[in-house]
Amino acid sequence: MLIIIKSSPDTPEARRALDLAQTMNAGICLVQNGVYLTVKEESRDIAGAVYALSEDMTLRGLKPAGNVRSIDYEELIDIMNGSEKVMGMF
Amino acid sequence: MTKISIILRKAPYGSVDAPEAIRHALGGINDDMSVNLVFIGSGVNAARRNQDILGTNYLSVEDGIRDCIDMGVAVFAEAKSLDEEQISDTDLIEGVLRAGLNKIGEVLKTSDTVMIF
Repeated sequence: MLIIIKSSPDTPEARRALDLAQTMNAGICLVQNGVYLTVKEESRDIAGAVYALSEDMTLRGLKPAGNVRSIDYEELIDIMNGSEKVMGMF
Repeated sequence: MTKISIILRKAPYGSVDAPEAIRHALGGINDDMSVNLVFIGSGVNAARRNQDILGTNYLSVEDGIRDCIDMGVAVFAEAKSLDEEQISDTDLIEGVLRAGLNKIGEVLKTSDTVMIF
């Protein structure tokens, strides 16, 4: 399962999505202001894969670190197609 | 001289708050006001260096902040928020001042107008 997060870490939407991902052992994909989660501890507690859209990271001056895998749009489409279930965008 | 402080609480590129805060800061400094721009919470992400707008239609928030500093706006980033967002001094745009809540409180207390974004 893949959960897509576009909201800033300090929003209820991002909080709800993280709780859901942890509960369901899902992977997460971070886009738009969701990429700010890459520097947060919470993203390291995710059992599944953690993806972040490289374009949105570059715009915001962020560099991928830790368990985050940087992807582009084509890869995002492939990952969504390859996932059994996709939920988003929080 | 009229003193205005503008507080940004939201990360850039997710909403119009960051460019609006910068626009008002530049407007104020052009009207011969004393202007402070204060980043707090996820707003401190606006002060990250190396924001790359290439290939997007966004206006660079980083360039806007550099313009503010060049024109005499005092730009502060709240220290605890910087730590929470894991932004080190080397990640900051040159000229942005890391400030504790005491310093920020002092700045706001002496302001005639405070605008919050």
